[in-house]
Amino acid sequence: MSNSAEMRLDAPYGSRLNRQQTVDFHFDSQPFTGLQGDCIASALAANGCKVLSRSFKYHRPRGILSMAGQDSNTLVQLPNHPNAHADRELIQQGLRVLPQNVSGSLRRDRLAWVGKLARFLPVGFYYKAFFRPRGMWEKWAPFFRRQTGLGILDTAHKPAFFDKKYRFTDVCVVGAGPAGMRAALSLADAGLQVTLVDENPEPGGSLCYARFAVDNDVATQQLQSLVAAIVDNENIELLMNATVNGLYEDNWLAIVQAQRLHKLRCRQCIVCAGSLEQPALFHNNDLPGIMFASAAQRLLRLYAVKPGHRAVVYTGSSEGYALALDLIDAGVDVRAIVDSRPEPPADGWQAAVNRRNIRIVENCQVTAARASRDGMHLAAVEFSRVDRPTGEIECIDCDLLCTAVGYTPAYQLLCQRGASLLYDDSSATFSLERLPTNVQIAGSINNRWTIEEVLKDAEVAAANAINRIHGGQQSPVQASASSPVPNSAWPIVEHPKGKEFVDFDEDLQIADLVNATKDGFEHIQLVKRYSTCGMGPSQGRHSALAAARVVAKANERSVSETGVTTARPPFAGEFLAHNAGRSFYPARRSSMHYRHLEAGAQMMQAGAWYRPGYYGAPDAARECIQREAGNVRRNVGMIDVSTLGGIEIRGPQAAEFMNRLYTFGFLKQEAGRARYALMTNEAGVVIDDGVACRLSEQHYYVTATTGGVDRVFLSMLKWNSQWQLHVDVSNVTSAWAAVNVAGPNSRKLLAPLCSDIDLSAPAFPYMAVRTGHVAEIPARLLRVGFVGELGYEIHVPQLYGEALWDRIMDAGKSFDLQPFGVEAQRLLRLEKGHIIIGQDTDAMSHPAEVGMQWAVSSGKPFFVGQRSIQELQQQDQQRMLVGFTLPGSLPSGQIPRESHLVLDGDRMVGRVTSCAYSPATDQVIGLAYVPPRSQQEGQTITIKVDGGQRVSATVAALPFYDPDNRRQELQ
Amino acid sequence: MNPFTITGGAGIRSPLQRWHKSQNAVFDSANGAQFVSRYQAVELEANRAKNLGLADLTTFPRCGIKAGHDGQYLRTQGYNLPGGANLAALQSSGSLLLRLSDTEFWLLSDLQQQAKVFAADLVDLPATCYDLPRLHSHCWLALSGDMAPDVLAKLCAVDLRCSAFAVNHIAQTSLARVNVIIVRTDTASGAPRFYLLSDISSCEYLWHCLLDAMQEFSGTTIGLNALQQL
Amino acid sequence: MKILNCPLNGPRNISEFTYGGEYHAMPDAAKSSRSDWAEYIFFHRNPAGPVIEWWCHTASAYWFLAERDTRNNEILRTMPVAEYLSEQQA
Repeated sequence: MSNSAEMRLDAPYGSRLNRQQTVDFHFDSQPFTGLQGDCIASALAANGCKVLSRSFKYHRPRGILSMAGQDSNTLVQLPNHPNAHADRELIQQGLRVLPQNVSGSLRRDRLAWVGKLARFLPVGFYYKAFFRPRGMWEKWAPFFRRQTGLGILDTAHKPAFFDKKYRFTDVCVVGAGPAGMRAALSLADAGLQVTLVDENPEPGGSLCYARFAVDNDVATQQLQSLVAAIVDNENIELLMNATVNGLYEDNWLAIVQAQRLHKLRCRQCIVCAGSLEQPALFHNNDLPGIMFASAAQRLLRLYAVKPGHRAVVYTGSSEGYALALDLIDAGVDVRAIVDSRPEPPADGWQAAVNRRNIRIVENCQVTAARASRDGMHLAAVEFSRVDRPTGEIECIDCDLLCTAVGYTPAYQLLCQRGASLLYDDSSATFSLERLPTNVQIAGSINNRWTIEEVLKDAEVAAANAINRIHGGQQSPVQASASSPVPNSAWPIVEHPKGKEFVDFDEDLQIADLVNATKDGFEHIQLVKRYSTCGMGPSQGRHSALAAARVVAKANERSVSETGVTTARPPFAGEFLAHNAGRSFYPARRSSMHYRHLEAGAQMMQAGAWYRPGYYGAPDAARECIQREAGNVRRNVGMIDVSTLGGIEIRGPQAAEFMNRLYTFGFLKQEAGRARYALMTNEAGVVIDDGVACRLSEQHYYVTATTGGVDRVFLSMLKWNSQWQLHVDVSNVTSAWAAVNVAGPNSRKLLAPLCSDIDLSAPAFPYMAVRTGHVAEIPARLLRVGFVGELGYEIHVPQLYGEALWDRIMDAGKSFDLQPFGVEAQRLLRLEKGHIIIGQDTDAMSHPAEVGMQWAVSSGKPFFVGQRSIQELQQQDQQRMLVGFTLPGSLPSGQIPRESHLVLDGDRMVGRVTSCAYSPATDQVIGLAYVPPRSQQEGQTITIKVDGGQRVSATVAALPFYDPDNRRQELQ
Repeated sequence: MNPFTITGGAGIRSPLQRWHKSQNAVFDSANGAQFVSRYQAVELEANRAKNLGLADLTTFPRCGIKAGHDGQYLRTQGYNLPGGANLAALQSSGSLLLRLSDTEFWLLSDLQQQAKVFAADLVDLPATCYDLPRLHSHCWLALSGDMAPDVLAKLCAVDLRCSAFAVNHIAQTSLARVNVIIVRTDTASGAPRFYLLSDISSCEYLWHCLLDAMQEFSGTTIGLNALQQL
Repeated sequence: MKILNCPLNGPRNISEFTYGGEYHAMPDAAKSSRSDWAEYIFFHRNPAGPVIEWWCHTASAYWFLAERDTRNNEILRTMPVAEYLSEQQA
């Protein structure tokens, strides 16, 4: 192992380092020291540690590949953070880093033998080998899961604060390389607000590490002038260490930065995301010591680390020559440039390389890499002539092989939005076409490679964006690229021993993809799913192009025809917490909420509302509910019904409006009277009910169900936007708090509180409405009978709700007034045979099925649902909602429950919608849908209850309790 | 219109009253209704609120009115009508008139709550106008201070930066997944201030969402006294 | 997140809106044939191309109509209901 001093370079190498500060950390249980600003991978490289992980399937040693946080070779385990990129995460004092997918230590992985079996583990092996006999997979799966896998989740970890933020800008520029910075400056000069986003800690992109000219100062000078200009520009907002993970419709960007997800909306978006370098394909192309040219340059410039001592450069363009100069400058012994081009141009690059006495081997391809004796890193490179692949093989010893064979544009964001990739076979280059509206691209993503062309391209893109913002159409002017593209149709060398990895994440070799096509999965999308190519953590960033070429060749198609698989968000890995963190769950509370809690209520949720279910301990729920119900029947109880919907309908045509929306007739309803109101939709299905109070000639106050009111209100507005009746419709649900005081003693209790309302039966009959005051609080009183006793619904302005509750509870002390909850109310209404919309009805229930013909007017010209109801009435009815009873002595395990089936023999003919033990009648009562032939009172129906038992229930007339309604209509 | 639905009275309580008490709020009352005058020393509150402060004005007088086409009735009553929907206009009395559509207006009391003059002319509405009980249907919160737009940016997808959302502009939108009406009405000294009007039943929920979002900026709850000093 | 331009509230995220289905005028409920009525209740045109749809801005409970091209999800225009109805009558 080399020591640190040997690998570190002096300044100005190492732009990210603070050499004054050393940082101690652990990797694979060994102590290391790096410098502040080092990422884990660079600090390890500076210490000569080449192996970072073991591969997913074959446990092959893997090292630095991209140095850009883009590949899965560098995934490591941090405390609380599995699958961290070692080439992105910074070292911190005391940080403990563990390798992943290792059994034992990184050097002595007990599962390394798996690689020797590669021949016997072809693609699709698991599918083919373990699907039979049945149950086999379940036995093997845990073994495979242990053997292959990524990091480990610490389930005891307490997640930190994650947050979301909405942002807005005129133009978002993705990528702060030369193109991004130049575009941002042009936009800012035009007076536009620019947000410049980059995943790196500093702006600059490739200017920070790449060599744009033989004279290395060119990039440095550009970098300094551009960075100085953007940092000082008040129209430019910099978002660094921020990754754009999604580009959505109408320029909505998901940007992940530290623990925050930014949702940014912009008018124009310019993607200058650059390009992703691609690996060359040859035997053992994954050995530690083989890396992208850009990775070596990043190590040098950003981290001042020599990537190796003896290097070979493999290229098909001048990129490799630039790298060779960089390596020589840094004191690396460059043994050769292997150039796949038959005749590399005799340009300035070649001249410069020649001046440094670097050997150039033309028209050659790397065919294999040889591993060191321990198998842990590169020891030598084999190459042959491109035109004689089986001819003479030459071998050069080296510990570093840098590949500069080509790039793909960072197409992912654009393809998420539907852009297409075109392919040019001669240069093996993708280009982006059919860009989404209001999105521009510039720089190397647009195949511009010289600094002059990149900057020019950025200016054009910025001009296009400015033009669009000022209302112009997309300008067709595009600067044409003239300089050569650094891609080459680099040789794909199939080796007799395989191990030419196309996808490093999933350990896929050329043969795997070829076999996938042979197995019949010819389409690239099917190849992906069958072979898992591109499905690993790097999502095909480094495999898409090679995979497309391999599959195209196997299918004898062009790469354009083959294409790449669909890009979907997120572009890079993100924490679940970015999406899950800081979610909002609205809660609605009535103004009496805390009185319920103080009285020991068990609250239940109805949509966003909290309602008291019953008052008392959960283990005594049944007793509590029956006690509350009994108190209503015998004495007096009070329930909070504030959640009930309330809609005001006012205006000269209020009655006409009601008449059209509800099934009953309302024109003749007298002021001061309430009327049951049933609503159907256009298909004649029952969708809501309530009580319509006519407060005056032109004023209705209609209640609606808690869950239905918002829908009912919107449908009222929707209808009237077409009818244009002279009526005002307001949803006042929250403006009114309400209680129902019910029971034989309710009148006696309330009378002293009502100074200006006469509660006596003649003055205030059943289904009447009065306005006045209750306990000096302005109130609307409705005499209704949902629970079947003498009762008054008292509606007061919401902020008085708690005061009303207090005053009535106070007044009720001498009557032993008890609050009752939703559960008791459900029981009481069931005893009265009242249906609950949504519980006793479903999406098919029409009025006749639920015994509501009486609520449907036959004498009016129109109401919503009328025609459909008429049509339904002419057809044979399929089912009927009936009451049924069972003996009160029935064991509780046999009491039917909601959705239990009604059977005829073994055939299902209906279902139970509500059922409970009724203390008032001492029997089990319920509602069920049954075939019309079984609807007669006294008939027997069979219900299948829990555990498959069958009970025989008797169809009974409704209501079960007080059939003459004497109690609710009490005089 | 029933005056009780405009100014309330002794019986009305903000849904946040318990919370205020738990924070040792000092209450004051106007028109019989209680409101928080301060939680801590007024100076301290006012100072911190320059950065970020949240106040509960739910018991303060307000009402809504559907005032016919183009707000004809209000115009005849001498109100200064906002020029279009989703704009607000300050009245000479100090109250703020919000216009939510062609016909719908809300009148919010000034912070001195001069209930006697407030909306007195709206009690007897002509047949063509309809009152809306906004005192009871909506809570009224005031978020003020330089960081207020940043807090809202964590909860609301509408661009509420001061450069994009001018004074007297209104957004009817969703905040932390509840419907809310947001009005920008800066303080006398020009500090950003937003009124948030949302369904009264969600008041506590919204309050706690705001407090949570404010933590990052060291926001504080304030009473009327500090709010008036901003 | 798509933007929908509400005639009352301006451009907003589509999550602020409630979809109200394809707009189709109700036939005369009393006079139309059974099959016409069934067609109206149960069938939608669902064309590949421009379609008029109901949308409601939830926070302001404001219904309006939008013309949307179902082929590319582009909103061609949005308008108050009254505007569209009078356009149809003209």
